[in-house]
Amino acid sequence: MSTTPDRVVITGFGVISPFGLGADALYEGMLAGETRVAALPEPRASLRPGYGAAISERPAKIIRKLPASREMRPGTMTRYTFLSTAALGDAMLNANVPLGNEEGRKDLVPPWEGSKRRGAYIASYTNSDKFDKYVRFAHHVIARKGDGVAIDDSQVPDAIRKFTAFEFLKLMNNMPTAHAGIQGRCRGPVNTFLGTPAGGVQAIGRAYEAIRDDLADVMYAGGVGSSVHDQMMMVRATRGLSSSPDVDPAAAGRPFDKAATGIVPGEGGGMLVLERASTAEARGATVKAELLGYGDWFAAPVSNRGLPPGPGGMVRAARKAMKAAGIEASEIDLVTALGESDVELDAIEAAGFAELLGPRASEVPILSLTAHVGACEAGIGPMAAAVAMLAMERGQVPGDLNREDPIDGYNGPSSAAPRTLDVRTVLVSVMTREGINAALVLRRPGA
Amino acid sequence: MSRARVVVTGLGVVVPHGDDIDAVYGRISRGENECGRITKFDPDGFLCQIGSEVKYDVEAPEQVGPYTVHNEALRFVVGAADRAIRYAGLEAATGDEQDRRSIVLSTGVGPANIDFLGPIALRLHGDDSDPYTSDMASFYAKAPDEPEAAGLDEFHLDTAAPACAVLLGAAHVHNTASACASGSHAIADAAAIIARGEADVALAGGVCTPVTRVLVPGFAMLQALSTRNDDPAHASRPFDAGRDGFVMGEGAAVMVLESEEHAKARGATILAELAGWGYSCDAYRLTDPQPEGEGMALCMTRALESAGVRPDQVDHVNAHGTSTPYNDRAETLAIKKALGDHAYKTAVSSNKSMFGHLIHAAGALEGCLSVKTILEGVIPPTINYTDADPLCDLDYVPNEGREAKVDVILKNSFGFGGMNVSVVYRRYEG
Repeated sequence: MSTTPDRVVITGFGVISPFGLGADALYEGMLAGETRVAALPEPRASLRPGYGAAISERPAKIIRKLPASREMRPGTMTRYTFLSTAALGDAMLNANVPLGNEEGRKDLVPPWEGSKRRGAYIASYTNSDKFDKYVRFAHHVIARKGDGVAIDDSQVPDAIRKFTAFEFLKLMNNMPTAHAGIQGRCRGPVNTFLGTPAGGVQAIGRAYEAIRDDLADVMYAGGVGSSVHDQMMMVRATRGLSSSPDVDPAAAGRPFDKAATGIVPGEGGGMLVLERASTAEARGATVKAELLGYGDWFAAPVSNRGLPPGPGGMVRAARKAMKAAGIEASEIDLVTALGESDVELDAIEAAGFAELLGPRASEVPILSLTAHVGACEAGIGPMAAAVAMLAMERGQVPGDLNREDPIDGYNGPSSAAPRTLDVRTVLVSVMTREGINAALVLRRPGA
Repeated sequence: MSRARVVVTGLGVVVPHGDDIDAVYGRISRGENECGRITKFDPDGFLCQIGSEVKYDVEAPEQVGPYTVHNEALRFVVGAADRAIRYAGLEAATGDEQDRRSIVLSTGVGPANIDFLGPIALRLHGDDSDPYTSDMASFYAKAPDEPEAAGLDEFHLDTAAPACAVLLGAAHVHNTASACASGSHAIADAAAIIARGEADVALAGGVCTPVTRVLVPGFAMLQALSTRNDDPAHASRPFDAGRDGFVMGEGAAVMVLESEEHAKARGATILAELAGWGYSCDAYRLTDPQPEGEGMALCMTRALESAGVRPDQVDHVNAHGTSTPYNDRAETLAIKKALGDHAYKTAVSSNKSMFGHLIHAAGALEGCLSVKTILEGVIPPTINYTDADPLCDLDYVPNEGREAKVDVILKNSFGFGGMNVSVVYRRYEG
């Protein structure tokens, strides 16, 4: 057991996105200025806005390519668990995690050796993939009563038989992490972070602390989300937060742009492999980046389901991460942002970056994924971190898709063309309309 | 690496036995049961008809900052948090002090969607339509504009942790879940945050309202719940040979944790020390614990090591003790692995025998009761224990509370998916 905090490095990252499996697919798609936002099939096409960025490949086909155990059958997973399993499997391959085939099992998972020092923190939500079944269930058990309606309990036992027992287990909000514990042979700390797009960055930040607290040497950490999902689309439509159904889907995701009309449904997940630097060195792992610092800050919205009172919470989260990392704003080469594509929220976020970056605000690229893949909930921060690490490695930063006419207060660059840039230090920032903000600082190895 | 000493200074509950922790502990230590036939809906014909419900009006702030406390789960958790903060004698922090306060809250799901979807479906599809052939596209096109649809937004209980943060004046909010281990997990995570110097004060715990028309029959289909419908008061019987599953319970429980230095500086009453915590994962199966209890034993050992406590110093194990055949057998094996021969000399009891399983709130409620056990000196019993299971052969404090000087309690919480957490509560000696 070590007695002082060791450095924490990232030795692998995995992504599942509407561009397919792998961070490369997402990064290359973004570099090419492509979007995967398109019209959705019925019945989802009837849910506002009727379009979104969805992963089209069948889960079984994707999971077959990845490290997984016999428990990892798509039938045992909701969409969230599938996204988590895919992103983690991709990250394990990317990190060259040793994979075994012990005890005659057909599973392809890490050996038990070292499992007590491995853990997993994953941010996700819970939503049944069978939302339509819940609608039908609710319809089955409702009955007229006097002038109103009431649930007829006598119908419930019959209606519940339309579900299988496993559908209720799958629905538990810790299931992505439970699968990850098995997939990654983790016998260390394992936990799920819920709610808000900041959850993925929070999970990574807490995993960083778990290593520094000596609870583990290796942590799988990240987040997943799907808002191309009946329930989430219903909620967004009800709250008036969806993008307009009357715009071209390919042009709907417009972070920091005046013509943005609201949230574009999307889905995806990102997972990082964090390791104690000495552990990574001992196994000869390739270090993709060093995780220098983490920060979070909550500032309550001004009203229930309203907007944050200003950029203060986001700025404080970022400054805490920068302070932990021991860096100044002048050292930041690239920022990854939420860029929800909601003009009011984006204006608050833009003001935050202007305050953080000061005179350099006009030159530091502000990367947002939402124009390409929509709102990926808790997946967005880890996915952005993976893209940022590829930008560090390859010196190319994707351009700013659909940001032709930036909102007032946005002082950053807005060029659709990719940039050639020496990216050494990245601020990964996720601010949310719920008021929870989280940030990471990543540095290129040797920078 | 030095770490700050973590102490407990406040407790708050809204649970089936009541909303005053002192009174709740009194009832629990006397072995009073709150499991019974479900009253929130008519469970006639349900596979499981048993629950443990909050049957009284819960007093809670109706508005917390921007958050309207408009559903039952929110009322439970905001009520519990309000009580814990007052118990600790704290006010909401302002300014830079907020940076030194944290929330770690575990939440299940909120109001059942069917309550909102049913009326919409009936209205849009008509009284005589067949639910199973109705057109979803037309439903989706119109449903978001129906007034009840706004209720769907409450399903994830997203505002529970932020509302608690406003009550405490906390700048750091974590909403976590590890199924049945969640409540203890939140407490352990909050303790770690204080121990490493990141915060001076943290509020941690959980809330769950699973006694619903969907989750009760759903978990009964998983064969997780007791179906002793003809005798609901005796349905939750951890470690008893006749156990056949757990009873769903509802409620919220939280505690205020502080660094010892902060608590002493403000003259707070220190209730107990949160001396250590340990985590592990079985990495085994989604539904079953590792049958030899290896993961459970690992997290108990880790908690004891974290606390600097030898196994023979443990006076009492507040067990996870769900009343399922698998858990109780595996937990018994695990306790023996972790404590060795001392396991047979240790009082092990399951509070769940009296209020069932509060899922995300279970570990937090049982943690609050553990603190009270140290203070009051009566170990709550495992009620409904009548027939010994040869595979569960420890001292389960059967049926009657036991007076004892209790200095060290090992609290276990184990979740579906193999997530395990143990917490060590110790008598505070300054």
